Amino acid sequence: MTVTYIAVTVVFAYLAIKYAKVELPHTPEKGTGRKGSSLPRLTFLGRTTWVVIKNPLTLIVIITVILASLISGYAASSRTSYVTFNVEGRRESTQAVLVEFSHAIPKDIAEDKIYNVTGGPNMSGVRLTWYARHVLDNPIKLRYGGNTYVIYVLLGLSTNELEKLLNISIHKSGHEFFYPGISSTGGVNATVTVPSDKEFSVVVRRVPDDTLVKAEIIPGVPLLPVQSYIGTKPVTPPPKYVLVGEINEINSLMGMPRDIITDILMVSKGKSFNIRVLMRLVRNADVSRVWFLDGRKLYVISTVQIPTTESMFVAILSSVTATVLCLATASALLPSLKNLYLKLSIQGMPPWGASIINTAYTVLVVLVPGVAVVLYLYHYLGGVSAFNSLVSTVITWALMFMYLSVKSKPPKLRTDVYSPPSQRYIIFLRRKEIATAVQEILESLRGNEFFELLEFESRVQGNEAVIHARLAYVESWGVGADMNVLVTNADGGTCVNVSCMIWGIEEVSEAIMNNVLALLLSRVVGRLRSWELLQH
Amino acid sequence: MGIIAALMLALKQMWRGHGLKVCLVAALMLAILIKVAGSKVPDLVLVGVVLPASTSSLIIDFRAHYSMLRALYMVGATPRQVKSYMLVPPVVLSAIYEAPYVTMGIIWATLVFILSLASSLTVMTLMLHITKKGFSTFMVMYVR
Repeated sequence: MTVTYIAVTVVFAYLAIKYAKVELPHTPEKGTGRKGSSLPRLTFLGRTTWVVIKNPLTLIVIITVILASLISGYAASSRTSYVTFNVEGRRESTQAVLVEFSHAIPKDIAEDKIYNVTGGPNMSGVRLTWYARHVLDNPIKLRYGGNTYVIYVLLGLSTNELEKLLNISIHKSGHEFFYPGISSTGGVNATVTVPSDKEFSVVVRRVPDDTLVKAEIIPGVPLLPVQSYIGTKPVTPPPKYVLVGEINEINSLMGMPRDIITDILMVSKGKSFNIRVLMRLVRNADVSRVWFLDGRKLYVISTVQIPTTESMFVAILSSVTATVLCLATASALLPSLKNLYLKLSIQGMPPWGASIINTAYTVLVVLVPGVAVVLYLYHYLGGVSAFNSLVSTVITWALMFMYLSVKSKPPKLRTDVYSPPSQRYIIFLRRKEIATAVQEILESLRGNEFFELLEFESRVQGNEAVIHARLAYVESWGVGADMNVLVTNADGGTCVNVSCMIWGIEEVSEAIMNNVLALLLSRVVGRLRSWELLQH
Repeated sequence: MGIIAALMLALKQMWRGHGLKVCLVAALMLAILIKVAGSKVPDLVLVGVVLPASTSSLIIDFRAHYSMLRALYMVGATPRQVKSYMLVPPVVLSAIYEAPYVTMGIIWATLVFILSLASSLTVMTLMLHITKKGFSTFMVMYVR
């Protein structure tokens, strides 16, 4: 997340500096009475963007993006995520599963929830152990010897577990608890005040800090409730905030029934569990986390859902479909867009103005409807669907933005641009025979594989000849050329002035017209040049 | 020039343009989407995609169809020939877009065909209207 913030800040800073550099020379001096140019320029960019958005084709893009995002979101599927740790120095082949419920529930309901998924109570050789680990929002207070201690964690274990994990035994002398902050080894009388101001008289005995911190339910899983992980190391509450006791005693402090638990440990000698069943348990039961120890491997299965490969495939496919349709629409939009940018650049729009309009257009047309769908899906279908939909929207937006940016660029003012042939061409020849020149021109047009000669008129008068020809371009229907030639004798030679006009019944592109013009001119000029060379 | 010639001209124009290619690619994508995610996505959402799809497939060749219609008017085509030309792209596109939806059932496929035909015919009618308007303006200028 931090990386995203930094990236966004850097991008905004870059754009701000770029904008300031461009605007600074235009800023009027103080006291001149003129207003700054920033606001009108922004208004102009906004209005131009609005002009582009008002095009009816925009509606197609919006509908496409919304439907593609919906398809992507509805088709999303997820699986439960888990991480694996290696447990060093373990040789046993037993399996152990610790299930942590998301809230405290009665034992019988917990059993039912687990058996529904794991296959019923007929799993042979499985031993169950219960734990009540309560993390309190409002602390309870422990008072003894004139001191008050705040308790945030109540740890309830069975008698056997107290002996096994913490090496302490119950004396069965009233309400007995264990607290690491007590210095004396014997029991002391204390008072516990719960958040509802109810007080309990209890006996508190000491449990060593180290024992409590190091105690593990299964290898790699501490007895103290795990709050979070730093890397692979679990973070647990400090022992001074923890009060330990039997499950029944802990529940009585909380004002809960005796059989309420928060965790259940299942230990099996054989291979009774597998990871897939436990992942299903996390999905279906009211479970917040499951630890699964299988041989030397410890799996931590959490409720975090990650998209499946199939889900990502659908997201990419729907975004590609949306992109194909959006690009088709953008292609239809491009001629008017290019025309608009050309006119605006003549009127003084800076080159980056087109980029800003493109960005604003694609953001408003693709990202805004897409994000609206993402929010809708997040609300009704959950995070995975929203994520899938977001992937789809972002891919579509990025591709459309790139396409528009590349294709709508105004032509560069460089010399490498294609220079179209001139409509007029003048050639000077050393030969003087005007009538022969007219005949040569006629021959060049007659024997031409690209053109069919429709009309040819010529008139020779004195030192001048005028020719008019109409030709049809045979490679394309409805395209032709009109040619006028003026031949005059001048300065001991002949001047031939050729002018052509290409026409089309259909709307013919400029590139095709230039090609046709070049073909016709080169044929006539080439014939005259070769005619002159023959003499020498 | 007869009706067959007008139909052939429309097919040729479609073949030369990009709309048919866009249509084929989009139909292929839709077929895969229906196969992979058809069971999870509501049918109406899947069917709805055909509206922008057929429209954009036609609009990409708007200029080409427009000039061809204008050329038809200039060579003196009859209204029947113009209508024949006008019908070809919507029918061809709708038939292609219908194909992926056959797996969803004949009713959905028919609905897709009708939706696609309606949307693309609307675009073509709009195109015809613009052509007529443009042609009449052009003729007025020519006569003057």
